[in-house]
Amino acid sequence: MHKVYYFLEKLIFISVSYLYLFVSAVAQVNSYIPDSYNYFSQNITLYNPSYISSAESYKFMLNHKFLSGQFKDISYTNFTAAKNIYKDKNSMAFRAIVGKEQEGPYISIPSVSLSYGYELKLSRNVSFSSGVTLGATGVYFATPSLSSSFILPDGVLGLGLKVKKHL
Amino acid sequence: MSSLQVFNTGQPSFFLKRYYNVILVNELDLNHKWKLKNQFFGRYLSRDKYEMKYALLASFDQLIDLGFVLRTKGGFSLLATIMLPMKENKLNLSFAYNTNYVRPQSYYIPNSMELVLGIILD
Repeated sequence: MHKVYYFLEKLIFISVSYLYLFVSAVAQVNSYIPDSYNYFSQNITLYNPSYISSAESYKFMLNHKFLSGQFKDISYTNFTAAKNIYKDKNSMAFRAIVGKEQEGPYISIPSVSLSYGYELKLSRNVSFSSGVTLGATGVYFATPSLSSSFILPDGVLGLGLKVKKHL
Repeated sequence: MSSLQVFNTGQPSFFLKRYYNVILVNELDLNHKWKLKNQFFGRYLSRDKYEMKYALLASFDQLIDLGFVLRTKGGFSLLATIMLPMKENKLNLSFAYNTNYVRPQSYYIPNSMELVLGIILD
C-alpha cells in the first residue's frame, strides 16, 4: 500500500513539475516570429506566403535582429530561400524558412517551415494571390538545473490583391 | 501600383493567439528614378492587443530605399536598404533601427536593430 502511495505521490510531483515548466515556458513575453520592420516593409515574403514579387527568380535572405542594452541576449535570426516561377496567367513561389528566436540564455525557439504562393492574373492590371506556410516550431527551455522542450505545428494563411495603375 | 495583403502571424499551435495583419501599399512613381511608397499596417489580436503603423519609403532607381515607420504603440523605425548590382544579380544590404517609447504601465521594450543580407538572382 505504501508503494502505491509513494508511486502516486511521485506521479503527482512529476505531473505538477511538468505543468510548471510548461507554464513557465509559454508565459514568457515572446512573440514567435517577432516584428521585423525591415522585413515587413521590404521583404514581406517572410510573413505573407501569398506575396509574389515580380522580378527575381531566386532570392536568398539572411536576417538578424537583436535588442540593445541589457536585453542584448534576445535575438532573432532567420534564413529564407525563395524560388519564383512566372507564367502568362499565373505565378508561383516556393519558399523555405529556417529561423531561431533566442529569448535570453534559457529559452530558444527554432522553427522550420515551407511556403507556397499562387498568383492568378484576373486582368492585365489586377491579380489575386493566396498562399500557405506550414511548419513546426520548437520551444527549448533549459536552465542549469531544469530543462523542458516541446514542438508545435505552425501555419500561416495569406491573401493578396495587386492593382497596377498606369498614370 | 497598389496592393492589399491579409495574413496571420504569431504563436504556433494553429491559429490560436494569432495576429491578423492587413497591409495596404500604394506606390507612386514620381519620375523614372524616384518612387514613393506609402504603407499602412494593421495588426490585431484582441481589443487591447492591436497596433497600427505607417511607413513612408523613398526608393531611388530600385537601388536605394530610405524609410520611416511610425507606430501607434510608441516608437519609430528608420530603414535603409542598398541594392548592389553584381552582373545580372543583386546583393541586398538592409539595416533598421527601431526605437520604443512605451507607456509607463506597459512593460519595457528596448530598442532593437535589424541587419539583412540577401542575394537576388534574376
